[in-house]
Amino acid sequence: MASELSPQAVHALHTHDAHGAHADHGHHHHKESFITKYVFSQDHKMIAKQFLITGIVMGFIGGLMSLIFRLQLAYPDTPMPFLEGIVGKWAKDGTLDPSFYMSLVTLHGTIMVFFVLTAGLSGTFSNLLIPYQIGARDMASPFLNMLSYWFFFTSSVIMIVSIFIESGPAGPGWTVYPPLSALPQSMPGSGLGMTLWLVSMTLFIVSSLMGALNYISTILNMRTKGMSMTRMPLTVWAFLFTAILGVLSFPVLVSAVVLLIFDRSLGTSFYLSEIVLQGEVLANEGGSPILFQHLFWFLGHPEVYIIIMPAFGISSEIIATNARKPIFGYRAMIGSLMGISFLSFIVWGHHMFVTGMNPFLGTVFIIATLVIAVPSAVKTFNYLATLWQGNIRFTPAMLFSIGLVSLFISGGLTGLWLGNAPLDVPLHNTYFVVGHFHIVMGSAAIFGMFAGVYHWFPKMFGKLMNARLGYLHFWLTFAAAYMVFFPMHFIGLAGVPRRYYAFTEFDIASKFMDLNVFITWSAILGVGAQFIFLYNFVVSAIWGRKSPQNPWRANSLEWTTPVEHIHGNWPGEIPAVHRWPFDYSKPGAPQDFIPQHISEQDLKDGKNYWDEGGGDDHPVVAAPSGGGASAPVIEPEKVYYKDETSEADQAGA
Amino acid sequence: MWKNWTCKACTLAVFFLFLATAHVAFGQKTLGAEAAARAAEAGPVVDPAAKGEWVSILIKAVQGLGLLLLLLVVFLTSRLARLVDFDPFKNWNANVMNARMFAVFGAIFAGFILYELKYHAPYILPSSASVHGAEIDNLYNITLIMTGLVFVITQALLFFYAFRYQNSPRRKALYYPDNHKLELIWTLVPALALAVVVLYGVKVWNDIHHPQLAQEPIRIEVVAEQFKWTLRYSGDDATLGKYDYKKITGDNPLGLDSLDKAAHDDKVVYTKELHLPVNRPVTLHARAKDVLHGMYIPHFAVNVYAVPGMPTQFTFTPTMTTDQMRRKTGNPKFNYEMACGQLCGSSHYNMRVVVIIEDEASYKKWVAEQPTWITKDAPATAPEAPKSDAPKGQTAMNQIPVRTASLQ
Ligand code: HEM
Ligand SMILES: [Cu+2]
Ligand SMILES: [Cu+2]
Repeated sequence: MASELSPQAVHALHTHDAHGAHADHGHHHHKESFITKYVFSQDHKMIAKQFLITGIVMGFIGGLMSLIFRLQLAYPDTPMPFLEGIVGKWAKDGTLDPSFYMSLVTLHGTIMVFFVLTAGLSGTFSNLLIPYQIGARDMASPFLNMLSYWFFFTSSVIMIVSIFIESGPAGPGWTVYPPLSALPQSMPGSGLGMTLWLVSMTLFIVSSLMGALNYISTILNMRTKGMSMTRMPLTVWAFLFTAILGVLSFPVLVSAVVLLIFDRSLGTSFYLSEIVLQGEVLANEGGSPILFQHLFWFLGHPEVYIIIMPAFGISSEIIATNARKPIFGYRAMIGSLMGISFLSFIVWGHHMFVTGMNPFLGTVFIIATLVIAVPSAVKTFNYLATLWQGNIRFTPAMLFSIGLVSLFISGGLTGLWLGNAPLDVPLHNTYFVVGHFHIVMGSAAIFGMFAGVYHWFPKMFGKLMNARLGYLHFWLTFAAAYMVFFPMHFIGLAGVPRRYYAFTEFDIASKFMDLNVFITWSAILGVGAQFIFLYNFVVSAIWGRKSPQNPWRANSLEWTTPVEHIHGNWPGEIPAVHRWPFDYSKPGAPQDFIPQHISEQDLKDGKNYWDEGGGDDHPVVAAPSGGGASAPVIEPEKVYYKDETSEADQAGA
Repeated sequence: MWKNWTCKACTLAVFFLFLATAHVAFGQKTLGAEAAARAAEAGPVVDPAAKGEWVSILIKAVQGLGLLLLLLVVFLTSRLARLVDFDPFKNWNANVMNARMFAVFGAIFAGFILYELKYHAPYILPSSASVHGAEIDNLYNITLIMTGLVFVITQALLFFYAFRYQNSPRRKALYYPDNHKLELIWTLVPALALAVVVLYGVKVWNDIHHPQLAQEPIRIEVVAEQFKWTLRYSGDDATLGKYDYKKITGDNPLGLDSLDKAAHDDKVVYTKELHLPVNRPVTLHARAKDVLHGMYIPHFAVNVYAVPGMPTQFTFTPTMTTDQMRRKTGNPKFNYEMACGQLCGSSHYNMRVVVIIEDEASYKKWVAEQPTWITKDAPATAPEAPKSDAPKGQTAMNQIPVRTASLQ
């Protein structure tokens, strides 16, 4: 099945061929205008860039929001008049309004979880890498793919617009538990802002479903010759499982959202019962707020894996490439992804241990939750084994991948505390949970995203990012991540609940005033460091040093495509695949890597694949003199770590 | 080539400068317009505030420009450094530096954790002051030791490997794709370790929900609403009377059913204090009137949601009085606190109740002092059900026989 091009792929090829001669072909979009190339593009590479850039913009919005509420937590008694300049009436005389605090927290969570880490991460890299790495000319349905982006874009716009409305954006937390989210009178953030939130999320889900269906069908049907499932890079495996999780769990969130909309506007009682709100007895009876939580977390827990699995895939690929070693336990890695995917559907109740749920259910969820830690542990050990005896090149992507492993260990271990119901009793809804998920999701998954951007930037923009700025970005971000989120565990262990506007009212909380100041300034440092990334990203995309074809000497197929983007990805035939993607430092090979498209015959023939497209300018490794078992000679400073100065020297212009 | 680069960079700088100036000018204009509008509203007299605004705008503009200048200076310095080929990091091997950074960072990270353990770990809750809390503490200790060990070992290995296996031209990476025995070991060992905590966890979980009680627990109802708590103690009959949410009025905030004799001597307590006797099992019945709340008393490891329409409860036995805890913590002002544990709206952060654990005698005395509901609040006849603004189609719902909940 893999050897034949699907009709769509042929179509994509066709579009490419048809540029010049025959325009009267029945298709009318042959001539590419600005609109079809940059706006309503159906090319997976362009769509990936669109997802990425939208994700980055949303990320900065979400990040800056967090600074506003962090300032409030650090200085609850100090008016900050400049806030009025930023949020207007919500900070009269520099004192942040408590309901706007909740709105900021809600939008921060929503934006980060869905818009940055789901669409920005999985959307970007699934789109970019699936066709490239399995050897396809485009997605199974480029049109659906385009729609997927524009639904996402529309939902982003609605979410952003909701910030500016009179009553403020949604405020019941990113989990939008009813009745708070169902009763507009219950808080300002439950009015129009909440409606917009629901509309935006519905569009978002549509977008992610269209994307996911596309990813699954592309991976299953459009692999090039020789690309059996067990030769796919781990990235593609991760994207496959992510997409499956999305398809199976997002519809449940839709149903939860639709029922919530009914409760809000049609007077139904799915989630409402026996309510007296501000002295008024409501007629709703028989519903259950807990039902919403079951539906929400049936998506919600898979969602956290939807977020982390692409990051796993990306880091596996990058760690293997830069340690110059095969990933340790390829099949075990796939197995753990599979295990995690399956188990993530039966652990949702660990978010609900103290809701008054039947204790027997609690027992079941304890067991399932702690079982899921086993594949997570296997992944960690396999990462470590991959680094062991490696020959590690610290590209910025590699730094972020190693950072990811560190953060995943830290956050996964606290998951064991929370997953054990009795321990969760005093910890539920405290800062301990905030620490846990910001480390394991907020930081680890974001690190995966950064790693991916640094690594595949050459594939997206044909340019290299500045490595030195990348190092600076990494070390500052890594330090800030721990400085911000590690101390939060102590706050939680002291019994301070989360989503508190100020730590002033409770003895348990007020002793942490000094720590809150520390955390806030660390957060400012962390967000500030992201501007280094932004600068690097923009400047490199426009003026960066041109990348050679295979800058990291990696094995996967995307590096066999030309640097300049073309429709259909490969100018000629799609290369066939002859090996798995992890032949790094294989004994007897002429180089410390053997790309997937190189056959045994090629090796026997002594084919020079390492200079392919790279030429003399090859930035990574000088070709070893003897070939065979001789160690590769690597001069990092001269080659791929150089900045523009050495580029200037080399270009000599 | 670099000249070209500089040129582009300067263009970029100028562009940003232009943007910033435009922003300042634009900001001035809108702010000015607002001030003008306000002035127009106020009448022909010039609003002095508007003038003040102009001054502050000017200051802001100067500040903004200053910041821009600073950025420009930094930028130009870096360009200049490049021009004269001044690069302090020129001879650094980036790979070696990053590898060393992992060693350094690992050490600082360890230091940071030790520092936190010294200065912030003491802030965490003291050992739980309840019977089931002590069991949770055990589980906590086991889990802490286990995960702590794994944390230290894996993080140490990670940082060490990053440092140790940095790229060297003299070495070749080991081609080592698999080892099933190893993988089996590190699947089984965590699985076994987890089995231990799971088994213990399940036992503690069952103990929490089915505690062995020597005595019938005292039953107290804890009712949450935006943004306060109301408590209900039973009277001499040790029974909490029936309630119906439809009976809730200003006079009858808990909707007690005046037809139920058991409700008559119930005591509705509005103070921000929850009194409990020490060493006596107590069941707190949580109820929410409007939205979700959480009944969270950290020092006793008590945590359960208050859910509209679904009564929940938590049974526990406090083992230390407030006074004992004051002595233990050396803090004469110490108080047990109950907080709201689930987001309920704008003042969620401000729903404090002080929990006072005292000996049985003081507790009894305090309860006796509280007036009973029927004398204090209830009208002589049963209050009529309040009207609701339900839409027409829903009135039928109101005719459904009133559902009453008894708490015993
Ligand atoms: C070893 C694996 C993990 C376990 C056992 C685990 C366990 C838990 C548990 C029990 C909770 C609920 C705590 C509470 O609300 O009281 C929780 C919360 C959370 N976890 Fe994990 N977790 C694990 C890994 C992850 C990963 C990989 C992610 C994301 C990438 C993640 C993201 C979250 C988030 C976002 C929440 C908070 C949701 C909220 O209430 O807002 N967790 N985790
Ligand atoms: Cu979960
Ligand atoms: Cu609350």
